[in-house]
Amino acid sequence: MNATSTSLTRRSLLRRALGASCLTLGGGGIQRLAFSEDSAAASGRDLLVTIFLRGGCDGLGVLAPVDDPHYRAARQAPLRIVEKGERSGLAIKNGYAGHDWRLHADAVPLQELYTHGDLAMIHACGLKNGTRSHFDAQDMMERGISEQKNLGLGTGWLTRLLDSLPGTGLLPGLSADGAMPASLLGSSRAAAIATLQDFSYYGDDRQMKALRLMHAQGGELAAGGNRMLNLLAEVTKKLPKNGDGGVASYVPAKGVTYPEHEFSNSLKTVAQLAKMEIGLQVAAINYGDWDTHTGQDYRLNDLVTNLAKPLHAFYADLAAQKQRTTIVIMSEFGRRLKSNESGGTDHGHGNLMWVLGGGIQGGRCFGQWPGLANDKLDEHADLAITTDYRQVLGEVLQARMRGAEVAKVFPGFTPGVPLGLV
Amino acid sequence: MIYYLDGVESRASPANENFARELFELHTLGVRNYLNHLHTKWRDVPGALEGKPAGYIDQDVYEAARAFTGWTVENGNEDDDGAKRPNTGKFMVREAWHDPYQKRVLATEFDSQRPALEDGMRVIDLVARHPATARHIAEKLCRRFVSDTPPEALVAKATTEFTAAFDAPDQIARVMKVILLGAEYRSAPATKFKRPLEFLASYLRVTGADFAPRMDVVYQLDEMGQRLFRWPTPTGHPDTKDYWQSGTFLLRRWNLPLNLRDDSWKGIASFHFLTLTPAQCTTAGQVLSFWSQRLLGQEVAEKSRAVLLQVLTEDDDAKAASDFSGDDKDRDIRIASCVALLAASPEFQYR
Repeated sequence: MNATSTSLTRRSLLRRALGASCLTLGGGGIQRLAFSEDSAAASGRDLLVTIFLRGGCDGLGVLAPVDDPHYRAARQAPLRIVEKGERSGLAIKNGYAGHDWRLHADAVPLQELYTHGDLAMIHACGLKNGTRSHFDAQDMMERGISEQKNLGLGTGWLTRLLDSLPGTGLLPGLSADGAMPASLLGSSRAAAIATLQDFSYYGDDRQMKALRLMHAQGGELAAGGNRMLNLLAEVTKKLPKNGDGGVASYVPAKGVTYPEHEFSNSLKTVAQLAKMEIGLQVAAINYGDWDTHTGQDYRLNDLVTNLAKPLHAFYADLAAQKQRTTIVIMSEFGRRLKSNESGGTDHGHGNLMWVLGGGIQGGRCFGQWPGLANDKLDEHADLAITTDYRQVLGEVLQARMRGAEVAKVFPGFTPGVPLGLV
Repeated sequence: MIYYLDGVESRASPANENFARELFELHTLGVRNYLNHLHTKWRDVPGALEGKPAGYIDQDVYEAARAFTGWTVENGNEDDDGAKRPNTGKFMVREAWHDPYQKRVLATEFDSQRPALEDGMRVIDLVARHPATARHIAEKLCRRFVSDTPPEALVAKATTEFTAAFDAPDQIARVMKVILLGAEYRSAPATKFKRPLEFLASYLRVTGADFAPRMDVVYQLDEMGQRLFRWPTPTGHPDTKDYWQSGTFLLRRWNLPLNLRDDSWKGIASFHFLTLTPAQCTTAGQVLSFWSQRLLGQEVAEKSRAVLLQVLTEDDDAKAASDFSGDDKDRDIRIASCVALLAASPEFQYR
């Protein structure tokens, strides 16, 4: 897999050239929606944010036992986290027994969240299936399954989670991306909104009414079209406007600055909607380009930097509601222990998973570390998996999302002994 | 692909597996024939001991990756030995990077010390001729051109043709003929959701617009989900409708004709709505009928007819029979608004 990075300034080019004549909504048969959603605090449910690192994040390049001779033998720095020097790894407490555990040198914001007790790490975690295909592995994890034979399942795990939760808010589920991820496949309660900039229909009231009528005639676009029209009507009212009536840029909490990055844009969309009190319960974010077959040294530095800083900003932005916010970060698989001869690593198996939130027992590493000796590796090549990814997700749901039916969210999965994350 | 999937840097050893993996998974046998969750040794794959493995596993990927080591590009780089490559962009083989030892791919043995070109070409022949490849490619073509869920009979016919025409110089053209001339194609309902480029092109065509494309259009297609030439993964865009119908992609689709009407990207398209409307269409109802037929091939549904007439006349009391009056510029813009809505209707979204 490969990935071209997205131009960060492109969005600004997309601003509508016209002075946007923002529509005034309200008349014309727009249906009002009832807001009977309790506040998240009273409901016993967090806002659950899932961040999927697409392409296979190199967990062994992000958190590693730097003094393990097997680790040292398999890779040269800078593909290996090192103990000494200008770019030495960041020491952490409460790592797995027996080794000096270090985070990637650019993970300072993550180290801070960990040290503060908000961030938990689970290594050697993932999808217990032999696949090393990005697309197969992502499809299975997003459907909450572990076997190819169940790939026909027409719903994602977040779809089933939303279906098992009460709540009648306007927007229970969000994909902060242009498209719906497979985790929200088939959801009638979620919408994909990449950015709230330009979140408006350019037509007037009559045209809006016409659109509504055209989408009221049934057909496969009816549900999605009407959901989008309802969102336009309600969300647009709540969006701050600038001088010429267009949507004003999002202003985060005082003192918070998001770095310029596509990932920041997704996080800002989630933060803005979370603060809007429209019943948001689940938000899915993608962060791509982790498939570092080549050039891993500089690419992973950028990837980690642009994961850690925006995430830190997001968490600070939602500080007022951090006791009811849980963020999970996952990837489809880890990467090969031994690096290839083109400065990268190929598809591996076990990986690192993170959980961040005010209700999380952070500052610790959870699960079992299987070791990196050849006979401990999966297929004698890759980090083994000791914790099923659904164990982590299930524990989070059980404790933080009251009412979630874990057995329905992860059909066929039998949870093991709790890790103690929450 | 050598650049895109990192072959350009792949050398012994360990090889870079990116190209070899996607060659199997995306370009030939397909992920449904990736059996690594069932088997970890080549000889355990059904059919392997007869030289006809039903699918592939990671061992095949590893071995194929070795076979391709040394396949690279004349990109002007300086190699370890100090020699500078020409900078032509052409394919080249760097024998010094090749892993020359014996290999086994899809249960077929490769002797040691064979040149890089031969090793790689053997892999390509093996995967190209594998029966799973015929089926995978035939199905992809049927999905692309006929339906998200193509009829099994058609896929089977296309698969047969792919195999029969394997050595023909126009193999794919022959397969396409089978697909496009088949009864299944002709009788298939129009269920393929237009991609943004198709949506834009069909809108410009049906409105007879003069079009001068610029990058603004590419950015707009991007906002509608189609990242021309820069889709981030080697899968290509999803070829089923769910993707194109999500949230803001739909919103951008509704807005696009309005942006064009308002000339939001100066000078990209100019329209001639009034000129194209026949002179005998003197009432709003006749104008709406003309444009409905033109975009949708049918009258607009009765339920939305009244409001479309209101848009056309900018009068909430409009009746179907009312005169379509006003100065030319005004009428032209009102037709544009109405046609923009017809283009946003569900019926216009299908190919």
